[in-house]
Amino acid sequence: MIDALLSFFISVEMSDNDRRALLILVIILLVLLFIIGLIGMGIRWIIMRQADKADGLMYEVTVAHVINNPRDYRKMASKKNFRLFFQKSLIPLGVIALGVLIWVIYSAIVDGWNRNIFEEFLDLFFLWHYEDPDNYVQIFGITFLAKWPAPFEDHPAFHVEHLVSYIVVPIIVGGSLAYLYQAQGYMVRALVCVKRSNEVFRKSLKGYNANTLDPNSVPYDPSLHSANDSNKL
Amino acid sequence: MKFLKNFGLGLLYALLFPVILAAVAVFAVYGFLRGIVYFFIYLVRFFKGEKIFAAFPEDEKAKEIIDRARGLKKEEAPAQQQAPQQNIYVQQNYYPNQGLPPQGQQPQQPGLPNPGYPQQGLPNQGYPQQGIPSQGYPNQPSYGQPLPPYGQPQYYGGQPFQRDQLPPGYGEPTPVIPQQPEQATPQPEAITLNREVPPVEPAIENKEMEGDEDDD
Repeated sequence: MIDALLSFFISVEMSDNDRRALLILVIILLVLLFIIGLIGMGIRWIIMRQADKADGLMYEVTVAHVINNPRDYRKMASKKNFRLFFQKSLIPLGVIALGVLIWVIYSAIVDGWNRNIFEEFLDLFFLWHYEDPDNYVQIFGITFLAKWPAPFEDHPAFHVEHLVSYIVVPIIVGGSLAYLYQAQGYMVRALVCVKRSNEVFRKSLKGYNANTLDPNSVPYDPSLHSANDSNKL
Repeated sequence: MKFLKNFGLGLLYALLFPVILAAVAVFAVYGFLRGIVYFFIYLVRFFKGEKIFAAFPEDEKAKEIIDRARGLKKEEAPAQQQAPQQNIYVQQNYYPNQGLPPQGQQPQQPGLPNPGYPQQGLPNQGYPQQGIPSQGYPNQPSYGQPLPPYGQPQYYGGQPFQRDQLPPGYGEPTPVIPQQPEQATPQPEAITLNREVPPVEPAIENKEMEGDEDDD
């Protein structure tokens, strides 16, 4: 098997252009990996921030020993966590409701119920022509996108008749993203609370040895020490 | 090193992002449905005139416990400071037959306990030092009894002294006794341990120098 692989790589003959293309491909992959890692670090940072808030929710009732078992902890945490989520998601839901209200009123006035506001909103962006086979190339039998950015199917354009879509779609999308962010916080806090409910009330004997004497609790008795020891003092 | 660890975890989170997104979507839908139910519950509360987001009973209890603990700490600190500022009313009573000082001696200093007249059956009521056990203040009148004017001592029970019954020297300014210089207290001997101190041997260089001197 290994011999076959080695013979395959040795037998591959690459031109200078192929080598350059391969080098650029490796660099692009490394940059992509770095960017993906940074994005993942950002996601993790956001998740950890929400996890800290979960501890703040249950701090006082736990420290004051109002709650003394994991079951009550989970129950209370669920209530408080949902209330926080409800309060935090009021604004995003309100924003979404505002966007929908604008769309309903506009559609009722112009009788445009069949219009796709999201498609109209894409007027403001570049659209790539991905269906053209000339934009792809075969390398080692694998299809790669060769022209990027590919020839545009459509260029950004502003249409006055789509003005309401340009307003409504960002409102709805922004509100939805904000709501998803709050839902992510709700999920993370719920998971952390379940984890804490098992940790906070755990009685651990890890590191404890019943046969170990605490040297601080044993009084010093000079008669038990020899003269040589006292000289050392 | 820490950055690399975080970067690796970041890659893991990025790979798991689709799973996280799916879980978030589930929680979003669940939260929305539960939110609709709670919206009507809160609406009913609002029209009842109650607080929509009233504090949980557990939170109120926890707050009360924590406040009580903090309040106790606050009360302890001024109590310790106020203790020396309490006013102590001491009545100077002299009896013609008992306890009179001999001629030429100063009368009993106020405030000192009089062992001949123990305070018996006199409850300590109404004084500022309530709650503090009375220590050695004899003949202290009970609460409600007016205090005698300053400089007019009286018998126990309220009968005033006659001026001629007062001990000689009473009311005169107290002579100032010059303060004796403090004698130096003998210092205790230094405690030495029974330790055999080895004789200090001179350094080799010193030996050589001594030898040089001898040579000279």
